[in-house]
Amino acid sequence: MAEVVVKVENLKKYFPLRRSVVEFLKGAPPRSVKAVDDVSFEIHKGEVFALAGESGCGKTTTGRLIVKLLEPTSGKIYFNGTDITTLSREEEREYRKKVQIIFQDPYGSLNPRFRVYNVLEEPLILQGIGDTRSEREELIIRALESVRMVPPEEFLGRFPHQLSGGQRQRVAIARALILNPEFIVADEPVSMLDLSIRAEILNLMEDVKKRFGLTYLYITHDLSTARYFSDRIAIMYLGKIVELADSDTLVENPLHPYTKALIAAVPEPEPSMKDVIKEIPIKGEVPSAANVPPGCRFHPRCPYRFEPCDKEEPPFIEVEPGHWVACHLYSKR
Amino acid sequence: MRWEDFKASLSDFWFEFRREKSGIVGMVILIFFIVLAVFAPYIAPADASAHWRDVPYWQNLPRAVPPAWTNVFSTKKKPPHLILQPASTDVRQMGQITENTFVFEYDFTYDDYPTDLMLLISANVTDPAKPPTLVLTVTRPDGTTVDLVSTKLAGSGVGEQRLLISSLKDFKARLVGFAREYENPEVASTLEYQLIDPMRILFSEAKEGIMTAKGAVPLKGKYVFTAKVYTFNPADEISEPKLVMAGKVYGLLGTDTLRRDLFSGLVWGTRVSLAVGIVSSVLTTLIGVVYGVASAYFGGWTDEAMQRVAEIVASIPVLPLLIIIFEFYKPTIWPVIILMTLFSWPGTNKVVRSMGFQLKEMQYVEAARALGAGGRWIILRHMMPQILPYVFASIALGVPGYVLLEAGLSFLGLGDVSRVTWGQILHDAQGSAAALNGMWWWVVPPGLAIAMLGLSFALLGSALNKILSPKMRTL
Repeated sequence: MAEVVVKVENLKKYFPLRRSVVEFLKGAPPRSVKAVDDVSFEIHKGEVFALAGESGCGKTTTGRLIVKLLEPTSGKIYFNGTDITTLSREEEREYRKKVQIIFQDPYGSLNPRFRVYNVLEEPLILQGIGDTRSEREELIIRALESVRMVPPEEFLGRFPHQLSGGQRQRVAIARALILNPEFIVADEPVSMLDLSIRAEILNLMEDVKKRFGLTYLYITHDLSTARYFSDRIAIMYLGKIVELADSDTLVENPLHPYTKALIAAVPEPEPSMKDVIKEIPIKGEVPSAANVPPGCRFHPRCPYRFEPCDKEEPPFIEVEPGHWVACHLYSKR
Repeated sequence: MRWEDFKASLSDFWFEFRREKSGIVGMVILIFFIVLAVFAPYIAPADASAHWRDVPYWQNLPRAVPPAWTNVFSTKKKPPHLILQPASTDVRQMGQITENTFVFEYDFTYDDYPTDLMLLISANVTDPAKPPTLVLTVTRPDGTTVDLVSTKLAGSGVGEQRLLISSLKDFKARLVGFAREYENPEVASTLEYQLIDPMRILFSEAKEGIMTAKGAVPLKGKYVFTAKVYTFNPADEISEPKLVMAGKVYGLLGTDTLRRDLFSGLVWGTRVSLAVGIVSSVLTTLIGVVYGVASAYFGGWTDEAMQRVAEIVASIPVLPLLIIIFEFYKPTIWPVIILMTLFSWPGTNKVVRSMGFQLKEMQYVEAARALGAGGRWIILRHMMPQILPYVFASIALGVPGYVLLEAGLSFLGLGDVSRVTWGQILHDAQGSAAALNGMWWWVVPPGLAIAMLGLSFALLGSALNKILSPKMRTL
């Protein structure tokens, strides 16, 4: 088995909700949004691990917990064997050097008043890399070259608004790469880009992954890019992982009804299908994470639900080697 | 925050600002006041501000007269304030006695009479028991010569003496005697002596009516005043004689009842008003910005606590509190500024805090945190540069409030009494019932100045508002 880079154990993140005065006086228990509710997984060295699901399922929160932009409510995150939920200041700084994040919105993730040079200089200054300006400039130029922004000198003085969406995302990737990280959380890095640019950016990420020996956590709601880009996919629903398998296995042989529904909903660019807008074969909306249904949290929308679904939470079991699912359909078999 | 950030926001700002006409008008008015304030020592006497409450300092000026340019709008030309230097000087030694002769020439071409005649002279007297004697005569354009006065100068001390000749009994008696020769005896005998104006006799045609206000006709032409000063000790020195014709109009803005030149006061007052307005506004804005950003950045309970403190400060009524404080404690200008600042920052804080809340959720701020940035870095590099344009606007919009507050305090007699401010000029005007007595030149200019300064900042502010929403809003 490959070396484990990131290991997440029973990770929980609850965002407390404000109680109203009446609730407070009544002594009602504090409520919270269960964004991430008991999630465990491992990411192996050199792989691309995709976390997929609808918006609001907690996939972004998981990513932000891993890069320590949020503190978990409970649970552990191990990076190369060290628990990163309890780090000293110095250790945290060291950790930030090794773990980076690429955000979804290339328009928001670059300060509009920073030139490309400043954007890329920021990590170097913050981590104290490069003593002189010329030393830093060389690192910046190399980072720009590695994301194929050539000639780099031409881009150094530009502001984000003078760049295209794809170029911005390249700068964001360069910013993540410049510190030589081992692990990158890519939070929907292509979902806000034009379709024509998506493949280009994903290929670039693939390319730098090979060159720098990176490991990715790829967060997405788009199963087609997940299959194309990642080695394994975990499907999240309402703060929990419901299915986890190799990308091909998961897409070709989905087990969980929710996964099946998601895959069925992927549009296919075939001429014969052009008039068909496919509907997800499940009903209703995702329930609020502040008010999680009892039992299997998918049961109100599940077409296959049966007796234990609204009472017992299904266990997460390995149905076949490397293919895990949390569904009573398989546990009761 | 780097200088580069500052420069960039400033140039963005200027680019937008140039297109706002009202802002340019405001800017022009403001620049006018700034020039007045900066060059005050060159525009007005350099020591006028320091001597504003020094009554003798102003004694050479006429009392409560309108500005000189009012003559333009009047058919009856009033004499302006003139200080005559001697046209010729002569010294004769007669034994122990020295005779200093000074001749002054005065071209009188006006339709009204000077209010007073004064002699300024420096006398260095060795023996106080033997003070110098002054004999003043005048030769009028009609050829008549009148001995005006013969009196003793002050015997002790060195330095400039001021002799208010027109109020001497001798002066009046002699002129009345001169006038009696021409006046109708019946009229002369019925006149109340108190009501006879010797200055009118001095400058009127020698004919019937010379003693009455109605009958007197100004005698225009050259008057030659001869002042002979006799000293009784060879060591005594007489120097720098000046003859002052206290006019009925004075300077650009006239004088008040304490003979102070209101133009000097207004010019020097610009300094204080602008300084108070700008310094208070800058300080308030800075405190508010730092407090608001910090409050937004830390969030949670820290924010909660900081905002409650700000709200308590904001709910304290500033003017009544300042009135009470200054009633017991006569302030200088700095305590006024500091106290105004201490109670005014919560407004800026609120706006900046809400901007800060938006900014700190920006992804680039998160990206910086993921790179290991701390609070200081994020506040200074990522949040402050975005808030700067608002800061400029807030400073400009805040100034008139402080100018008015300071003027209000001064008007109530609670300002810094060591400096002249517009508010204090108005306070004095109020005390002398200037408006009731028709002394508009005492009331209108400082009032107008306050209004214009307020207007300039209001225009600037409205231009800034247009610029800031929504074009420059990068939030």
